[in-house]
Amino acid sequence: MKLPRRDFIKRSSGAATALLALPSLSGVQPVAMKAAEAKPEPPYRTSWYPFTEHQDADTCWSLSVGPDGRIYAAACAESVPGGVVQVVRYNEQRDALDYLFSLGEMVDDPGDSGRATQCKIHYSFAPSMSDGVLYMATHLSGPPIDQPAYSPWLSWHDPKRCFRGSALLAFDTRTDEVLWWETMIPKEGCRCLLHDEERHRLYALSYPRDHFIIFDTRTRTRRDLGRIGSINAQTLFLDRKHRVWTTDDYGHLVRYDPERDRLERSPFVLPHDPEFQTGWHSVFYDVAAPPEGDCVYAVTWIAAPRLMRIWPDEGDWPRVEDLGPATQKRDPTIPKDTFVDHCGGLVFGGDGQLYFVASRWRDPVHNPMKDKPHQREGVVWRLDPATLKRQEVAVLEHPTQPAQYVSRGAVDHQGDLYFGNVGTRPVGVFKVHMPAERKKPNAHLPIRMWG
Amino acid sequence: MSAKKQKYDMNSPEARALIDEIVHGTFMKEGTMVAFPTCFPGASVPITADEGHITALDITGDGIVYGGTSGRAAHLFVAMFHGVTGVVFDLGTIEGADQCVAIGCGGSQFAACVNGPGGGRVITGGLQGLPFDLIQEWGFSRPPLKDLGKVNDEPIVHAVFHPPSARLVGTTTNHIFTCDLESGTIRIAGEISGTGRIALGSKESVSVGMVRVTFGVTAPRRVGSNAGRFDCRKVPGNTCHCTGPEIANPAGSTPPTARVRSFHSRKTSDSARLSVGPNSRPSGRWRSLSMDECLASAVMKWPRCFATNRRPGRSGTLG
Repeated sequence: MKLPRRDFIKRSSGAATALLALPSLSGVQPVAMKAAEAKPEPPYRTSWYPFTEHQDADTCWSLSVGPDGRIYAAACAESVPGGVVQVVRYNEQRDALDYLFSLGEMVDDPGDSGRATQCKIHYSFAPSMSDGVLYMATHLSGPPIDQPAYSPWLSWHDPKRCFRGSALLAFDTRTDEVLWWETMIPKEGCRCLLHDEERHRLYALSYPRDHFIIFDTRTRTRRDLGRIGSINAQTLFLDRKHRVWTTDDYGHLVRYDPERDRLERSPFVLPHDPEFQTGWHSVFYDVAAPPEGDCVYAVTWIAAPRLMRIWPDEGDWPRVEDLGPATQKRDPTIPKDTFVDHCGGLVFGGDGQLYFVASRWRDPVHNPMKDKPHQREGVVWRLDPATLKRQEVAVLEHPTQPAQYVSRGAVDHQGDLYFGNVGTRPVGVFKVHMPAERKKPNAHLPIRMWG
Repeated sequence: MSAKKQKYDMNSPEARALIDEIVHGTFMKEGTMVAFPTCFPGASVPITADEGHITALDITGDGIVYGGTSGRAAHLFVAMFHGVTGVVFDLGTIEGADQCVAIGCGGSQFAACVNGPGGGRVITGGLQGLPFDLIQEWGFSRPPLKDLGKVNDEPIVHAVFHPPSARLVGTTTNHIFTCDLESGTIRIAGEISGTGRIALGSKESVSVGMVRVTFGVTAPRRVGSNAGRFDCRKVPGNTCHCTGPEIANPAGSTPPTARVRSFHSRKTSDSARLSVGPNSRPSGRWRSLSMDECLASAVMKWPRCFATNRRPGRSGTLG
């Protein structure tokens, strides 16, 4: 049966509510309720869950809410020779992470193969609400076990070294079983993944060739529509018309319209800093849709990231609102470090507000941070879609180091926020305990369909 | 009285080719030349125009360029164009300086000579590592620079890095000095007058105008002294330290260079060729230059030619 997407999501919400009666979740008390019974805790308190049981883990690129309303994260090992990603899930009862499986084992591509490894899942969790499946696709960059680094260009023609390909895996969150896997993109990694459940299609961007890939989940066949650029946008998003959107190297919107079966490029460039940016590298880093689903909020992947709101259905090409810089002022003569000047983790909370994490760093002119122990930090911001006003609500508290780089954010079925951390080891997951008045059941619905 | 010029016939069969030659022949048609804004395009702003006169350049063995500017303020910068790079990174301005006259690259550090109202100073800094990936994501930091202070009260005229001694060798208006990059020690080596730009020469020497300076383990030693005024005629084995006009007529009878034994000349058809080596016998390591090349060479291009052959990748940085 063909369903309009919004209707589908409403029905999915009901289905997901039923899913919450999963055996493993029944009887689980919301964290905030526990806290309320004990003693009042400060709002937006943060908890830290390092990847202690995966010693090689050095990054957390993917973090998403699953179709079951629970939080899944990728404990990636991209800088370790032979490193392999493990999938973890936040366990509410234990208040800890469960380590589900290693991708290397599941897709028969172990870390000691001599090839580039199945080292990470990079913005490539995508839920399937009708059957409780969480799709995930692997990415490359982790070196072979006997090499210190890996270049996909250098080893493209080397059968012993070349990455076997992005493995697409279907994980049943109801039974905790891997249903099947396929090599979705030979020799390349999957930068980001999106699921159009009604059309039975997964969309992906490959790396390093930046090709736009369509994977049919019924026939398990792949189409390669072509190359977009060199940089690789970090997100795809879906609109009500089932069009898939991303960006090219020069800050233009790129969309795939299934009705026309074409990749199209916008005639304009997305908002960017007018002083020192040109639109080059203003590719999407993260995109989140509000519950209403009529627009999306996006941030770009370049130092001095730009926030914007995009209305895909207004006009031939969308109306785009420039919401300004996501991070602080800086010296424009320095090409600021991408890992220092960063914004990610866009997620809508149960209160209908946009939350995201933007870095803040010590700058002698623009931000002395005299009272701060670290040179930099990750700040959780709340943006009111009605007024577009931003308010700082928390700083991510890592026990040993700054935590200014957040990859992805998600809200779980109880309404708490989670953020993936990239930095110096140990890396892991932050939980931001939302105030009770800003939580609601099934806060993750309508669910985000892209990684 | 010149003959009257004919108006060019735009319909001539050669017109298209000639237009292309005029327009495109201006630029390089072989090899590679890099023209690049003084920034990371799209991620930073260029050095301001009135602070962006590039007046000093050097290059490391792996092809990373260091430079300095002059103008309202003096900037130091590093530029890299190989691999996954493509950036000119502004290392910042030097307080109290408005002129950078020289920069030299050592094994792990560079040293820049800057001038300001207070005289000449030497600034050092660590060599910049490669940024991660300038297509995908990059990491830069502006490393601290170390001000070694004034050489003396005179402005610095020029300097070069001298690899065998791991020192910067430079001149002020009346003195020659060295600077040990590791220890940061600046030492006046002696008086010298009438100096211009200097360059690396043969036998690991440094040429200062008409003077060749050789280096022992600890201190420079001048060769060919003539009661305080140096004369290239007194420099045995001098190979590359003569001025352009002298080179232009190396086989002549009157120019002083005629007495410099290291120049070997011979006639080939209608042009003279010079073979230059440490002695009168041409060295296979060094290339021969035609007379036309010699005529076109300014004084400091000579040592540059040697540097090109002796240390690949360092051409064009000394002149």
